[in-house]
Amino acid sequence: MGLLTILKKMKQKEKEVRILMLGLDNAGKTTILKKFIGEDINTISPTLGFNIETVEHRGFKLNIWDVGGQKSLRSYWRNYFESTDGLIWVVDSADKRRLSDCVKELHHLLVEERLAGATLLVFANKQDLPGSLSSEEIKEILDLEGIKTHHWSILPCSAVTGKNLLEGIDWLIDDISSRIFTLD
Amino acid sequence: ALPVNMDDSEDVTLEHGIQVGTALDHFVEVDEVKQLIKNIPLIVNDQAKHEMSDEKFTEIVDKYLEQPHLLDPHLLGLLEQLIAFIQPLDVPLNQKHCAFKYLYLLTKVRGHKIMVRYFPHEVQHLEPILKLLYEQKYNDLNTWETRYMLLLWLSMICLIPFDMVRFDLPHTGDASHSQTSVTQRIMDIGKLYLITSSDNCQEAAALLLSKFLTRPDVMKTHLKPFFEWCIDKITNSDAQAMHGVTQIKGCLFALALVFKQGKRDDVLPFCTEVLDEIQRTEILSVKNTVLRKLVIKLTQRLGMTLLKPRLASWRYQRGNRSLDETLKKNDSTPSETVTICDASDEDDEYDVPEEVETVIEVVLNGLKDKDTVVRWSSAKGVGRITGRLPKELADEVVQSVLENFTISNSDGAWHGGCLALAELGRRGLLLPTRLKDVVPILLRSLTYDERRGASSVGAHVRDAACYLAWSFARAYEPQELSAHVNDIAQTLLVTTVFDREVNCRRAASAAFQENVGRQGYFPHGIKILTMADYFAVSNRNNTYLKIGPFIGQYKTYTKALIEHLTKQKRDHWDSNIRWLAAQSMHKLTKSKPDYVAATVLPELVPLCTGMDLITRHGSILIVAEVIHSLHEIEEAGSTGLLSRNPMVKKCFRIVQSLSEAKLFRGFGGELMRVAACHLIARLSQCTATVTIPRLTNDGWLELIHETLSNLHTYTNTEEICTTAISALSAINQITLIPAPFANLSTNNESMEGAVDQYLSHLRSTSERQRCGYAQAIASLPKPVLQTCFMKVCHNLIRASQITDKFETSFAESRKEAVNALSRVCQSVGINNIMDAGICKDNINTIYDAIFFALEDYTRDHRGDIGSVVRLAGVKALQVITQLIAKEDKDLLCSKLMLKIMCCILQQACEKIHKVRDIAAATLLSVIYDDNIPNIPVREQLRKVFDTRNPTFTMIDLFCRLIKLLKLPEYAYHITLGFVISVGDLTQSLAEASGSALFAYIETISKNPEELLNFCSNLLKVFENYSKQDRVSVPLLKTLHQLLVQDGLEILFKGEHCKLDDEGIQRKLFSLVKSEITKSKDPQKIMLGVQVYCGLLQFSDPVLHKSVLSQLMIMLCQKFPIVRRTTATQLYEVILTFDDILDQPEHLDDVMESLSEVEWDQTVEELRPIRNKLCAYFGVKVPQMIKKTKTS
Repeated sequence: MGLLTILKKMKQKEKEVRILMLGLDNAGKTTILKKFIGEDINTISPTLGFNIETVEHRGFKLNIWDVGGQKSLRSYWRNYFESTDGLIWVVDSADKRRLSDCVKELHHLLVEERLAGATLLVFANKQDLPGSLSSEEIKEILDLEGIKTHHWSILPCSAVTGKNLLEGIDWLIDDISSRIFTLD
Repeated sequence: ALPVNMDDSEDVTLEHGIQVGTALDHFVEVDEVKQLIKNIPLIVNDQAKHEMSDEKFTEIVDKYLEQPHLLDPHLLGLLEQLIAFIQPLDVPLNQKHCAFKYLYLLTKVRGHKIMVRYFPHEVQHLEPILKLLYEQKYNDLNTWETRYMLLLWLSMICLIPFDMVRFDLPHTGDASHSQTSVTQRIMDIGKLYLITSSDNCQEAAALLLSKFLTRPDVMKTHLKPFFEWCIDKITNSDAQAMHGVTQIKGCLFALALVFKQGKRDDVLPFCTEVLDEIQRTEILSVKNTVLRKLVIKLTQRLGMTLLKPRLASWRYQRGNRSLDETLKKNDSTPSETVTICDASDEDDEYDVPEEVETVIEVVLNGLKDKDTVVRWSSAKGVGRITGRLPKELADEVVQSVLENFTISNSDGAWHGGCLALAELGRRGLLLPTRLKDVVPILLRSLTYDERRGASSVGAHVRDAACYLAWSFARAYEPQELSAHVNDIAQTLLVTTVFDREVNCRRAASAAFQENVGRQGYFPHGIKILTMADYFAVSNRNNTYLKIGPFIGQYKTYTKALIEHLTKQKRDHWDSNIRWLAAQSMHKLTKSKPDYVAATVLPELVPLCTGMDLITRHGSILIVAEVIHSLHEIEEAGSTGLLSRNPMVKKCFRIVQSLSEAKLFRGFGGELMRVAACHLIARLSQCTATVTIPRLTNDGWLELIHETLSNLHTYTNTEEICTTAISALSAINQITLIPAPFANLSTNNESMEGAVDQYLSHLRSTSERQRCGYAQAIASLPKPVLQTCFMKVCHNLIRASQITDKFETSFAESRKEAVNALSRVCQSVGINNIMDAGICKDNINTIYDAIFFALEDYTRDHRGDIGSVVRLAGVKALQVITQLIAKEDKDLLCSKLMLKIMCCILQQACEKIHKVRDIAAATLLSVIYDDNIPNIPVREQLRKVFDTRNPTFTMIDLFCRLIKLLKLPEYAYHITLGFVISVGDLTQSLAEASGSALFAYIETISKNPEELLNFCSNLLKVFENYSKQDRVSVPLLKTLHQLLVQDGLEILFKGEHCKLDDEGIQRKLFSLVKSEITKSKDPQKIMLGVQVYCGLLQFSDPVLHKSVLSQLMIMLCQKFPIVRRTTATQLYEVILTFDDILDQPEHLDDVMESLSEVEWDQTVEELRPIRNKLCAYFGVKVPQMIKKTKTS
């Protein structure tokens, strides 16, 4: 009964889900995370390194990893014993200039073996800003329809107002739990 | 379906234990499984089919053991299909058993808790299932699955929400006494299986009883009697006997489940009694682990019943946030994340019954149990119960757990303690105020390692300590932990990189990652983690030699790592670890040289001559590495770091002290020799900064020579020899050459004496010693070798050959001699003076020796041991040829180069894989080395080998080599090589080389000239190696295969087959004849017979007669198997070529004789039949042998 066995069992028993939150810098990942844990979102600086936070929702324990945009943190995409169950890709809908970067990065990510099978939720963030693209437009640009390797969904949201955040997580949990846990 | 992406297989191999590539995403074989179920009626009566079907079913569903949820969408359908066999009364019993078996296999994968939910459980099922269960034999070993599934099923059905009494038919009159009630029947059958079966049925029975007994109606009447019955069984059974163990086990199991499932108010009244009774038994002191575990489990359940279910209000809460709350709040005020309630306001309501103390005592003691499962169960118990206690009492529990960690307690107690603390931490029951007590314990447990004789215990403690460290990451706010962060981080990393066990290193890495992520303040956490993640720490060499030194560059960690290695790993029981620790210290010293020089070294040096063997060994190794490392640093500019260190002088005396204390003898002497030699080697490499006294040096040499002279007496000869040799060559570098800082004058006499002494050992009767001294000679400094090159060469050459019978098996030392020859040549290079280097006068001597080594085909019980010598020979060819080409290419005349190329090519075709590969690599580097002159047809060689990448597959290599058959320069040697491979016993080799050869023959099949060339080479090989079975046996086999191919057809027809004035077929015949005539090897003779028969294809009547008369002899040969084979072979030939008969009208007689006669009979009986055949074939009856025999 080593540590890793204990952790595996615990994960199943406590219905733990591992979610990785990624996206270009300044997309609003940390803001979303702070919003999730109910902390103040007015004082956020760029994330150097990463944050792990745990929140409970509908009986699931969500371990959310907010990993800064740095590539050196690739080793976090697969944890020491568990794979990533869900992937939240955060897009700054108002930053049209960098959307092509965003597409490239996302598609790079999806061929990553360490993320094989993870459910993909795209948050088209910053809908509260004027001139932001709609989630339909972003869906086109990101070529989501072309993704066959992952279950995916896209939602327009705003980390500041909290719009659609819960809906997104609900969808993510539904999809993950249908794969991993038996719904009691 | 969601395809799993597998394109990027970057680190699949690293991910031990995590199966990415094999992850399944849905139940692929569902239709196959359905078919198997459908076929049940077809297979049950045929045992073979039945077993096949069972195996298939098991194989399919077992694939889903790791991801059982994938079965869920199909479970209901499969179940319905299976139940269709079970429910109808008219289905034969064996089909039912089979259905139950498959049901069980599904249950095994999915788990019974999930599975039972799918069972139909309506009123009408109760009676049939109960009846079916009663019809089973309770002890039939083949059908236990049936009983198991029925019990499980019943445990579901018995929950129907109707009063059980209503199922009993109201009987009128006197029938009632014969009619037992349904309730009673369920109880009876449950109890029967509970105490009689020791398999899964017992578990199922316990489950059934617990579900049934906790029904409100049954509870009223049956619970109390059941408790009494259980207690009676538990107290009155013999816990030492098998039968008794089974009974007690069942009862404890059932009781634990009843207390888990029963309503608290229902079972509370029985708690005290059960607890008392259990306490009174001595089960906790019996040997049986399962019984002890069950007692712990039951006791824990009793405790949970005694205490009201509530969450401790005082518990420390971190990170328990709900999304619903945080996201529904519209204002962004920070929510409260840390809640530690005032303990006083609620504690009064806690009502802790007295019995709980007993419970706590039991689970606390269970933490120290000798078995892991019991400790783990206890740890969970401690966690759960403490969660319901008031703060003061809970703190006492924590205090008690902490008392586990004393030196006098066993490793088990430490392990249990760590698990319990981790459970408490995880549940928020270890308050931050306790951290100051727990952290020191955590640190000690993380490196807990108690030496026990030749090994140690503690890996489980360290692993559990990682769990504790991991739970800290989730349990506490960063500011609570901040005071301890450095200590925890340092110790976690020590375990991550320096633990002997991979699971501990991984666990520590995992705990470190969790802490870095959640705590944030771990120094350099991210950079270190990127280097030392879960996968990177799998390889111990990597962690000691790369990751450890990398982490050591960060000041926070340097000292901790150094201290751990020099204090705790210097006396580690595993000598590999001590070596690694020393090598790691070499690198770590660079990060903190002053500290190592001033503090570590003075501490270690006295230990090098201390009392404990292991400590001495480890300390000497570390001292050796540290000194050399300090020397390197001083050379780089830190003047005086080593040269002014007073410890150096003491180090010089270590070897002498050990010798005076007679520590090189007896037990541990070998270990000391290795360590001392290593120390000598390392110190000798430091002469640029320190001067070694003459006396010390002499003492060292004495030790080395004594060691090398007694190699045969050691058990670990190889390690001793290698270290002694490296010490010797290190010393040679300072004593035999005038070094700038060494005051030793070169003394020709002593030098010659040393060389002669080495050379004389090349004739030792110990193979090891020869190896050792060959290496010693190879590592002699150039100036020394330049005075006596030829003498050294001659001696090495002699050692590379077999000159006496006892040397036959010394392949290793011959190999070393060839290697040494090659290294010596490299040292001296070209020199016009014959005794100083390679020149035109000695070049042939050297090459001939290597060519000779390439002819070493010595075999013994180990197989082709000569292959290592040939391998060394091939390598030597490359090294020496390239060396000469660089310095003086005129020495390489075309005759020599031809021979070199032929040898390399031949080896590249031969049968030992490794030799082929090295020869091919050598070939590439030689033909592409533009310095090397005179390579015959170099361009053609380059065209065939149009790559510089020497990694060929076997088939690819043979296909390239066969093309060289066209080149007359190399054809003979290629033929020789191929013959050996094509005729080899190894199928893959024979096929690969054979298909290349036959494909080639096919391409030249229309070209008689080339065919003839090929055949003439074949004949030449045959002539040269006749009666040498190593070549001639595979050659016969190759010939046979060639003759059955169509490739040679053109030759069969006559005309083209003239070679000289004789046809090749006749020459071949006489070669085969002389090869097998007097042979005593039936295998070889049979191969010859096959070739004879092949020769009959040539249209050459004279030859036919000769062949046939040979075959007639073979029909009466003394080995029955030869007679039989000859008859069969001849029969087959006549089928195709009936014109070889002299009297065609007797064809049928001939065929009948050959196929119907028992050719195993005695020769006397066979002779008349054979003689008749002779007449039909028109050959003389063989007489000669008979005559010589009778005369």
